[in-house]
Amino acid sequence: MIRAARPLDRLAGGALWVALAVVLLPLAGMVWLAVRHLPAVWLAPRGLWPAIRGSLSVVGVGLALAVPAGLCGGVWVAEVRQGFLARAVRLSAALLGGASGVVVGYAALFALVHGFGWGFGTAAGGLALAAVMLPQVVGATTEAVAAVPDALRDASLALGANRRTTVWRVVAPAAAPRILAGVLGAASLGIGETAALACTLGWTGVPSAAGSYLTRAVWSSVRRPESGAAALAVLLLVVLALRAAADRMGGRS
Amino acid sequence: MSRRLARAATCAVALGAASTPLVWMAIAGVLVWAARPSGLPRLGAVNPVAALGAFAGTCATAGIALVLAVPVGIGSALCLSDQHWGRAGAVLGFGVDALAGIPGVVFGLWGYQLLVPRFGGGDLLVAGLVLAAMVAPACASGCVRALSRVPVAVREQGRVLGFSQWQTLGGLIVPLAWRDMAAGVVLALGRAVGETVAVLMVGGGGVGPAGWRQPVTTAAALLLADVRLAAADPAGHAARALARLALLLFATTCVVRLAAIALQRTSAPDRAGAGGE
Repeated sequence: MIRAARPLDRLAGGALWVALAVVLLPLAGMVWLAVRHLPAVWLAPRGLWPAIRGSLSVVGVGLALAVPAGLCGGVWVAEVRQGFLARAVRLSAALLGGASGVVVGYAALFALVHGFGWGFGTAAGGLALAAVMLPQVVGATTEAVAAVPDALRDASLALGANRRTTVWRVVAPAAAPRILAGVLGAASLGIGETAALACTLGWTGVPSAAGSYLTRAVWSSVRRPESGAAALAVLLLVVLALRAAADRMGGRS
Repeated sequence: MSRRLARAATCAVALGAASTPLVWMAIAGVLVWAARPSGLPRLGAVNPVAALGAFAGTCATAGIALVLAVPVGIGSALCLSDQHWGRAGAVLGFGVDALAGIPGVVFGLWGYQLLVPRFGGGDLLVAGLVLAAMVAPACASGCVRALSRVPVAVREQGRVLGFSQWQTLGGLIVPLAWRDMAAGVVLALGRAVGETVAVLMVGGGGVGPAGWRQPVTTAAALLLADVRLAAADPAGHAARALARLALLLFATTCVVRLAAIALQRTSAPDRAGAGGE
């Protein structure tokens, strides 16, 4: 029989509720910020298009680089499990995942923008963003592949399939939804990245100028509140939509 | 033919996998090379005192954020891990997860618009509050994951033994999950250490932590604020001084991550899922 909740329990429950409310409070503030400037949001998108396009292109380049590499890394870690490469990938993904965007951006600025003379632009920005998103893809792929039950692998191997066929035909379809969720998570991480892009795309503060991007527009709203609020609304919408899609796709990444 | 193809495919995957360590090594290598001692007198805008002050600012803001956010984050994780309210719980859980994934610049604007006017300017306290708002959901999200790894059977056992809901939580579930929870807290700390733009927007741009209501900067914020100086003289002193700061920050975040791994490794039932976030 379930014991009835005692006063102390009820107090503890109430305190935890308060904690949850406090944690969620900023989200309400952000939504309110975006909604308060709604008239400006409706007017501004025309001026915001270059920033949106800049963000999309740099995230696209970053994903094109990070997803294949991250898939290989995650599959290797989860399938091979032992050996030098698996350990190196696991460790470096964890370390790289903790690195601040500004550190990655500074390295890219020093090596790519100035060292190789690429200059500011989508190439350097995409590469820097790939380094930011790569650990996320590796981690999500590792978790997704590791979550496939070993019984499935054993069944495939028992039927005479070799290792490659097993990974390709049995494990991959089972893990695909969660991997896709991880890729969406990485995309939302990339679209919200500011510091790494500030170092590699230049510091155009005007959202309607070429070479602009969404997070820069939000950042520069300190000086341009209208376009900043519009950019905030767009960014919030994109990030929340990507999160929701990833959540629905299967498992939190 | 088929065997050769298989071997080629394996090699390709291994090459792709090797890119992650290579990227890490490339970043570390570039920073070390950029930070190499020059022997020239320092003329750049970033002198070692400012860099150390900024690093102290990182410690101060991250410390404030941690003290404020950890109790609240763990509390809300305990609240969420209790799965009695179905749909509402799922929505709240999604809210916390989403908030953990919201970019730092949005938190920065939130602080700049809603907190800074109320506090009469950016300072250490406001920067700590904004970082706390960022760390708390990350902390909660990590702790919820840690708690969800405890088998459902444990919860049932508590029920069967006649424990109340909170007795089960405190007496059975948390003791099993606390290492993973601590790892989640450390990972959230890493986010506070590395945050750049939010601090730049609400910190007020001081030198180091001089007082609660004094402007403050952090290593990451100083790096981004002064990166233009490095761009102005790519081979010059500012670039080198900033590279040293970047290297220090990189090393700090790596140590934080290693601490999280060390906490996880001894407890995680699934070793394979230790990488990434």
